[in-house]
Amino acid sequence: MIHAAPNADGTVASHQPVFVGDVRAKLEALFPKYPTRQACLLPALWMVQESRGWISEAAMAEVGEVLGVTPAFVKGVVTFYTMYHTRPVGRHFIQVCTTSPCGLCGAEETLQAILRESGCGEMGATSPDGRFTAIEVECLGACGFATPILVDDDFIEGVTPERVPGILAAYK
Amino acid sequence: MSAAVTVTIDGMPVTVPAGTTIIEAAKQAGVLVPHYCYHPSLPSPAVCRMCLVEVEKAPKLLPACVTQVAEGQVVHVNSATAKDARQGVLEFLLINHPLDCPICDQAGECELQDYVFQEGRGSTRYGEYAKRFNPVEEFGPDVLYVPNRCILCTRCVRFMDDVAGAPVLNVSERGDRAYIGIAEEQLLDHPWAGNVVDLCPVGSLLSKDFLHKARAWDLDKTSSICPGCTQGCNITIDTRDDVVVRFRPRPNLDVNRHFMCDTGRQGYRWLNRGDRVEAPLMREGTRLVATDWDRALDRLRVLLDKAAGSVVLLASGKLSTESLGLVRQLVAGRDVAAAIRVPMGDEQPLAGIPNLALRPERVPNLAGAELTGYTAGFERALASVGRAALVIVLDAEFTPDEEARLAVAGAELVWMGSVATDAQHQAQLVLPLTTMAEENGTYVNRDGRVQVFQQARGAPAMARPAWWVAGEVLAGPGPDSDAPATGAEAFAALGQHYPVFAGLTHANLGFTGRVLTPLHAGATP
Amino acid sequence: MGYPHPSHPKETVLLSKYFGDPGARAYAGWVDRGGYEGLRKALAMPRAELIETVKQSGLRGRGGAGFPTGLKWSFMPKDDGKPHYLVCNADESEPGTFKDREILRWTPHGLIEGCAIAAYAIQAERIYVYIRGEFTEPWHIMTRAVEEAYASGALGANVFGTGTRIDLVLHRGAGAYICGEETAMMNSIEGKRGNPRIKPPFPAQSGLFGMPTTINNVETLAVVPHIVLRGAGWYKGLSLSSPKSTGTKLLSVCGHVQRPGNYEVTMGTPMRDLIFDMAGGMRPGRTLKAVIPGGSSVPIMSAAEAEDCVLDYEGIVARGSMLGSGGVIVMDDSTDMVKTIWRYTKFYAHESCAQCTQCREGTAWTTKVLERILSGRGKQADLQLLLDLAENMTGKTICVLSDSCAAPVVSGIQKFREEFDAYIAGARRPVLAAV
Repeated sequence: MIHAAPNADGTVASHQPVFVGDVRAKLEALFPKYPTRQACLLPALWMVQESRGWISEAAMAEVGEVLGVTPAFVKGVVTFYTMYHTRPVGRHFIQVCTTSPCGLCGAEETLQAILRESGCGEMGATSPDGRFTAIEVECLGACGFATPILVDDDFIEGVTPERVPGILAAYK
Repeated sequence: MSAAVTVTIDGMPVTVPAGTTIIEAAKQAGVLVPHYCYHPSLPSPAVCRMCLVEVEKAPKLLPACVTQVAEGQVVHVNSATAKDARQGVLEFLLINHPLDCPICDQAGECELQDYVFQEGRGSTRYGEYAKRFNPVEEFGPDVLYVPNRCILCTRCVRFMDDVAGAPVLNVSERGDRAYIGIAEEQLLDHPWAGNVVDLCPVGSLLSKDFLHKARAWDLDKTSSICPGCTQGCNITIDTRDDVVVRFRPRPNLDVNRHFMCDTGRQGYRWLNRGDRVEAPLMREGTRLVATDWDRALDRLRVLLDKAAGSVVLLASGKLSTESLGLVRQLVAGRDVAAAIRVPMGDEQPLAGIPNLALRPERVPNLAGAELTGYTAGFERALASVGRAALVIVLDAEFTPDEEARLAVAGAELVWMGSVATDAQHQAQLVLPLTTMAEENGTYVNRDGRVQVFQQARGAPAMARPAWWVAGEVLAGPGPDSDAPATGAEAFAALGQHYPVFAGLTHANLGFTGRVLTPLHAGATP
Repeated sequence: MGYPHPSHPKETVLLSKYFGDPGARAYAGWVDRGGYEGLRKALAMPRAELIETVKQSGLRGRGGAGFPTGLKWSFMPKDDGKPHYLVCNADESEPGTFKDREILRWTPHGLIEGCAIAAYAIQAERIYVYIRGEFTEPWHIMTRAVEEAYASGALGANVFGTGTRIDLVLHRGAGAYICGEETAMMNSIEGKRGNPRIKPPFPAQSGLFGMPTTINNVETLAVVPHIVLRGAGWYKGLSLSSPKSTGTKLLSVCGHVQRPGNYEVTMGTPMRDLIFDMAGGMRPGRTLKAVIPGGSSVPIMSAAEAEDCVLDYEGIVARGSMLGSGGVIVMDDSTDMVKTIWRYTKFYAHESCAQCTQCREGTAWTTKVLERILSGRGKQADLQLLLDLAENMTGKTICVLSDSCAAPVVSGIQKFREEFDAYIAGARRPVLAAV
């Protein structure tokens, strides 16, 4: 079970190790920067997510093995931090801030526009074409530029419902 | 750290070593600070916030489990402020709790139930909201997790992380979505994993073996010693209607702290065996016939007197020191090969506790046997049966092959045992013995600690402790004999024969036992 | 300056001078603007003198707690042979606060310089800068700046040829507000769940990796080079009010103002000037209703309290709230206070680490009660219940997250009770579906 992750077509592929070649080298380059291997856990999880788009149980086990911690420990950490995906998401991941300061300035309307225009329909869902997954997130730390959203790594400020179609068009 | 600090807790002055936590100091003052996450054998995370106490001059309530005492401190555990805080915690703990006490194994020994009853609110203010729901999960071969009852105290996680050294449990998610998690493909199957069930203050972690077997209030609890290995973990034997339903660890900081291994935990079933010898059996021609104890003891005296030549004594290491020692005295001064059988297994240590392991020697009283004149050379003793005039089996168990070897021409066979076996039919005399759950006695563990176990259930029919049999024979026939009548008296009698035990009594061994001093070394006969 | 707006005459521009100036981002550009002179000067000073200078300046932590920075540094053991760490808290996540983000984006070298000075002062060979995971652009800018700083000798084994070793590691968070709490941040850097730790032990005794550690906020560290260069007296002189509140403060103004942005003011500036002059005041036809002056964790001020308030640590306390992180959330008369408060409690319920009972259960329960009120099914008893829950969530947990959740609830009910009553009485249309 653990070494299997569902593909988009529902088939099951076994886990291919993430930490080989360049990714391994990138991780090992971090080791001297911390007194413990365990401290490289958050960076290592980022590497998994960059490489695979999400963090499967098998990947957690691999990270644990590389860093000398148990899969359970890794899972406890992964599920603590909301930016790590524990299931596959669309090609582009949209995070919309709706915490109060943005809420005061129309974030809810922006969120609704995004859910509608992206085809996601509801929070956490992936659009039928697999292009987007959109969620509501807590404060993105750009309250003066309501509503900020993150599309993948792109931080976009001042998003209004009117701007949504144009913004989404840039992500194929 | 050795300096003493005097504090006042709920009006009671108490002096404790510097560095003591308030919660431990309060115990010295006779005050229980209600708590969930704190456990004396685990690191304290101070997360349940149940043990908040009022400390005069402190700006806010302090967690008693991690706050160290300071000279002159005045602590209020049961002030209105502290009680209000606890009531608040209890209310929070209950909002998502299923309140399914009627079907919960923990009911009756549940700390949530106890404290809510003691000082919780009478009714809920949570209203109509749905409670958090997560399905029951099988964590391991014997452990079920019922997340809906969980209060996230994390004792189980800390036990596996910090004591077992096998971090297979975690806290997953955060906020009120959090639960105790386990990684896929991992199991809670550590040899000491069962302790998480005891550590769980509520009914969230359950033993499958004990599931729905008994209500806590129907159990009789008896302090005892685990018969599983030479470690000598202190245990409680729980019986229901005279049936042993579980072993649980009993705290002894010097032996097992608060823990016991799963092998020991599961080693209770033999105490409920139905195939017991229930009456003395005496050979009449080709048959064994039931008899009374007077006649049986007379026959034993005759057999002992008659035997001219060497004696082989094949014993079980589960017998009490009293039984082993006094039976050994029956053949004192003769050419004796006396041995106990010591089944061997792997050592399974509990990583975080020094000197605590399931030991390879899977008998509880190897040291007691050695002190009373037995060796562990069971095979050699068995091999010498052919030259013996008298063979005494003392509750030892045999393979079918070995049983065949017991039947030798010229040797009389006396069989003292708790369970009935075919091989007994070769004996001149079969005497029904009690098990360790049916008598008071002592075991000596691998560190020379003499520890008392107490009778947890009634003996079947006419079964008696082996020490009683030996005591009666040693004292001679007649109603005025000074034969020991109790385990404690047997222990006193033992001291007369084995100076190593002189001065010790069941009473002064107490609940935690005493280590034999070096003075006693080499005192075996 | 009031980035993204031009500087306002009532501002005192120090940290924000180069906001919006891409030229300041590069090492050379920063040096052209006088950068790294503070570090050079500091490295020539005895450590004790450096710490004393910061103490004398009156600088207090800009992350929220306002603890005197020099005093914090002085708690670090001296020459104890252990590794020391400096952690720079760039996990800016307090709703309403977005000042550190601009420092990271526009003046990364100013921050690196401040970090290096602090590291030298406390004998830390290594600095970890913890940047929240969502700050993708600041992360890339900081990464480039750190590379440049190493290449230019401002970081590394031999900083500016003085023989001092100062290393700086950027560490990326992954979505957890609570990691902004200093002990949670240490756990997070160690690769653990971001659970706050029990204190004592305090970080200066046993912090990151069990070693003496100091954690300072981005803004706090960024101002240090200025204090070193221009002196404690100069900085201390930057105050219009109390000697306990010195220097400038970056205030993030958001919500219902015409020019939301970051404004840098001298301590003691009237809040009225900030809201009505610098930030442009209310939208046409609107009036001020309420202000949360220090990020969402502090009590809500009524319009009257805010209009009459001096912006410094003591002045805001005197008006029933706290300066906190300096995130000023402005609400006009169109604001639904009940809904706004509910959205804050939902934030805290989402962010609770789950350790302490009161926080784990209380933040979620509080949110549910507010949802019930907003769905038109609230009862009068719910208000007392909310206050009781708030009481049980205040001062009883390891960190102050649950206190922070309780603060807007209590102040909201105290100051805007009629809005709660309106929902309960059915006088206001429900805005949430029934739960």
